[in-house]
Amino acid sequence: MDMVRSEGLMHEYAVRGDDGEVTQRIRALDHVDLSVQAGEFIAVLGHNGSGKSTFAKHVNALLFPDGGTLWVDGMDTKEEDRVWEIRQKAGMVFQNPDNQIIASVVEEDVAFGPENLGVEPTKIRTDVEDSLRAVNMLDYRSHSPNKLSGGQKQRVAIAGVLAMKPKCIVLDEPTAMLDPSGRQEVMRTIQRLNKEDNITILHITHYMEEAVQADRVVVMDHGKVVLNGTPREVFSQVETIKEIGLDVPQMTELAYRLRQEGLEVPADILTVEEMVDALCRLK
Amino acid sequence: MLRDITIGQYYPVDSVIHRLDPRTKIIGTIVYIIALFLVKNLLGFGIAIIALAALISLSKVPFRYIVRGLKTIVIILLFTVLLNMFLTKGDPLIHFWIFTITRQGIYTAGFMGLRLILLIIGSSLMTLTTTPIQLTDGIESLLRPLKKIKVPAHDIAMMMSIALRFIPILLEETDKIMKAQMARGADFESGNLLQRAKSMVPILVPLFISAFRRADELATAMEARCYRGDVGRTRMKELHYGRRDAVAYLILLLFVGGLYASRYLPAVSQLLHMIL
Repeated sequence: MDMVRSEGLMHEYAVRGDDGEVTQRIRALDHVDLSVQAGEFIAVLGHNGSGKSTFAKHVNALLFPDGGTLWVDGMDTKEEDRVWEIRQKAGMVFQNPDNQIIASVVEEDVAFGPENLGVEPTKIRTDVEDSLRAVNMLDYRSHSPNKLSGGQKQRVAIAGVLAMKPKCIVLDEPTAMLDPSGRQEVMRTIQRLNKEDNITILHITHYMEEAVQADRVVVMDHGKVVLNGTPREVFSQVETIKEIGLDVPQMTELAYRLRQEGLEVPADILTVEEMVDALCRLK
Repeated sequence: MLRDITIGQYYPVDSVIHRLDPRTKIIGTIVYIIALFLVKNLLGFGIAIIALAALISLSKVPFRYIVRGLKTIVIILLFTVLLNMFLTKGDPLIHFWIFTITRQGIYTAGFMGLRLILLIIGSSLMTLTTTPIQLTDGIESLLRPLKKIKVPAHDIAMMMSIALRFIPILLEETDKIMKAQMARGADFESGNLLQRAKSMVPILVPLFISAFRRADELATAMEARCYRGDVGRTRMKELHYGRRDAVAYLILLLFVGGLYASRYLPAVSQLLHMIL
């Protein structure tokens, strides 16, 4: 079954002049057709203003379609009385860890979601413990979020979403403000949730190395889906990706250049190991 | 430099006072403050001091730590004492130039000073033994009956807890902005008061813009986690009164009764005056 499915999804922002009149309408999403299977790990790529964050907010019903339809777990996001159900099913993690942690104690923050849903206090407690254990932060339950590292804060934010028992988690550039080790912590957590708990992941990112880990990569540009396929399929289209102004993974780039120089290496190399393999097989 | 400011400093030890329900402590503190203004003589103050000393020793918070809180109000304290001393009319004791110190003046000044000191120590004992979250929970729960007259109890408590969460973040940000402006040659240290105040503008403007942006993002994040006010909301940690709270209320009642009685025992207090 499709976890998320959009058909002709449109979203427009109005740009207002000094007098408040609408001078221009910018189409952030332009007829987006996309479906995400339950249990899939999808990476969404695109540079700033490509519409990828707007799409993420639609999945969480924080924005509503100006045209077309979006279904989340079978629910139409236009149905206003199901907004809370949609937000519970599709949790969202944002870029800045500081601006999404509400309480001044880790476990209180994780409890925030279930508290809003009206879950029984004893049940909240076990859910909070389970969620913190799932992101490996149980030891920090009574700490203040201010004393945690960026990666730890982001894991707390993920736990906060997990405690609401979602089927799908949308992560809007969760690693953009983290250092490399924090980025790794978060990626490992997301991977585990996807593989072990079968949670659908929509991971929006700038980093190609992260996109490589996904089952499927979607590249967006000017509100449209430009490329959609496995990481191998997508990144082998080096020219299209460069045209949009994005990078390809380092090894794919190297393979691309070697091929231009006439070396017979596959175009869809993603990792260093594959490159070493391919190079050893030459001659 | 800004990080030295501590708000709602909590002293983490385990004691009977720490384990009391926050509502008990809030009500107790309010009653204690009101009771202090009922006190008219030395006997009353004696009772208050003994009660406070007992509470402090029960709370296991070092006395030195509590007294530190008095430093911030030394100036107000001196001001109050001096004004009371010189401006109270009565039987003159000492007279020089335009100043007259009366016997009543000394009494009122002394009482006022003592009252202020007891008030500050008493209320800081509450913040030292209660975590900010417990405090906001307590306030929310105490304000709940007022909801019938449209007091937004939940919203007030939510605002307080978010403020507590963001104070350290905004302080850090202020520090960063100051350093950034100093790196570009801004001068915050020299000049007169007006110039210094003016030099704060390049700090405040970016700070406010960033605070608004944070507020916007936080609101979105809260909505994404299904926040819709206190409609249908439960709490993980619910407040429960225990037996020790009942005991605390009983002691509070005795304390207030004792203080009230002290007003009508001039004979005893006269005696105390003679001894002291």
